[in-house]
Amino acid sequence: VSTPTSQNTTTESAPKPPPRASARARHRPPDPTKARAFGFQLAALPSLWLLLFLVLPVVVLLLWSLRPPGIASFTATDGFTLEAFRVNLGTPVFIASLGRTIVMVFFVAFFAVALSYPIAYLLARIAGPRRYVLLSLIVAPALISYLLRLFAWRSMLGSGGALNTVLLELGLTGEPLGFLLYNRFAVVVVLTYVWIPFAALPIFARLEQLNPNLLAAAQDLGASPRRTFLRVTLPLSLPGVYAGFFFVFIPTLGDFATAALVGGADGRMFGNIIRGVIGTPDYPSGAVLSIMLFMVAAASMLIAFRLLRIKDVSDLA
Amino acid sequence: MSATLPEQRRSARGLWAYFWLGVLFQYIPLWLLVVLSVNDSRTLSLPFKGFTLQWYQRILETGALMASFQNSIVVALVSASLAVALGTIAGLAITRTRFPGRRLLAVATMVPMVVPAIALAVALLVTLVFLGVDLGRPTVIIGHTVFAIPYTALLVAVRFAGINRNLEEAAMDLGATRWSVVRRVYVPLAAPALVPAFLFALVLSFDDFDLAFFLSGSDQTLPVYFFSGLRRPQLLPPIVALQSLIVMGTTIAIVIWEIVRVRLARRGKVDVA
Repeated sequence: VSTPTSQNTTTESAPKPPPRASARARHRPPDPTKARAFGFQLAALPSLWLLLFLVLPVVVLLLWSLRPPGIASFTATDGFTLEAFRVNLGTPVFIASLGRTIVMVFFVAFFAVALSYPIAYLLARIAGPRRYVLLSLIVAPALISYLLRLFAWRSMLGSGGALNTVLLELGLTGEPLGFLLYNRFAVVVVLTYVWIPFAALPIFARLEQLNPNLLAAAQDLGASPRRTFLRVTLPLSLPGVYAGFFFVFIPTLGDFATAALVGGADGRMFGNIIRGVIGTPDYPSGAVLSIMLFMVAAASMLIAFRLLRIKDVSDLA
Repeated sequence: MSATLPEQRRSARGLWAYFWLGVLFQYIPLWLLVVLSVNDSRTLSLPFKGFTLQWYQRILETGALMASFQNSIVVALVSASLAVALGTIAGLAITRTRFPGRRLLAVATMVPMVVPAIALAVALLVTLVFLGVDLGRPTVIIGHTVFAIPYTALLVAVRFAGINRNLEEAAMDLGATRWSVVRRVYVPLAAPALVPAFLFALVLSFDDFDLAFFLSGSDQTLPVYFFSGLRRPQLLPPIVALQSLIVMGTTIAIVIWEIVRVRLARRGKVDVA
């Protein structure tokens, strides 16, 4: 059984792909050396870019994490130490924050997927030829400004905000409701709202590919629409659901703007701690905390790969 | 969905109601901001005290706001171009050639998509500090390009995977070099994917806050300036006015694009008939 980790260890010496049908029509035998050289030439530029700006930064991040905590210049002191790991992993507040962030983000991804599923279903299975127009209608505002939407929500939920103004005017409440903002509940609500349109995309893509014959067959065999949905449509759309979940989960793990805007002290997330430590500035501690975040993201990625039965990155393309 | 039962029609009606409620929820906060941007009040809050365009006038007078807007545009255009170029080459190398290390390149290309932006931002930041590079527009461009490459590569790779290999072989049998095959066969055939890839990278960059926050230094982009404005409320009204203009501009652009698309599709049908 291939595990998700096999993506890194896949060998290049594996049996060559079977010859394509078109190979028979070749007039000249292909020159494998030349083809390989061409592959290298093509790959050179993107590889160089990623080496410089992705691989090197990860290596330097690891180097920083082994420097004594509290410095902002790499050459400030001598020697490598595990002190930054010891200090940060030994700070209960940080560990608790990471745990709380994972729980919050789990709920965000869960609600975003659950609330966007009916939208994706409607567009993919019922809306007909207008579905792309309607899809862009709901995705477009999400693309405009993430911060603006956060700010708009704060303007609506704050004590001087639109919702409280309306409630006060209608006499439904004697004083502004304070619990709408500056707690972790508000962070989860606002993040869910922000992510709903994006979570709908993979589910939509999956439902759109669904073979209508399967649904017709289920109905012909006497299944009610409800049963057809629960036993055919929903299970077949699960890969889209998982993709949507992780599409939300992984980027949101590091979010700090939302908590800064609507979270207050109660809603602080792990990203806010990283931002604070980097701002101190304490780069070795920032590096350690970022590595922790990397690890959580990598772990959730492995779970995603297993759920989606992706064995190899080339499955993605 | 041929034979619809009454039950299905009822649930479809419920779904439509839910959809339009969702749309409303996505747009109401933005419309509220547009309303606030013409409100004659310094605090960007209700009640509505009267119509004014003074905040729009103030956009042009606020140098730092205009500078951040310009930074955002330059960064978005340059990083989207780089991400499309590098993503296209990477996508081509991954889907159309075989060489040792191909899978490694595929992994590296996709990694930024599954890393939280703040972790990538911190890694880049400490590297730039380590190398003694000053923060500014170029460093944001680097960050945004790395961040967008997976998406551009994926969009283009899907397109490349659908191209018949016989075309490549035919071109080479006719004497084309591999590079001219890329230039004359692959790039033209991938063109329809290049435009959405560019737009996607553009939006990703223009809307990014996390990377720009750490990498922009004194060359703040619009979201970073907006964020700093949240701590100084007197700066906010012109920022929200500019954002309202962007919201309205984008909406108009999308509406025009949809109309053109529908027209073109209709003409296509007429031509076929």
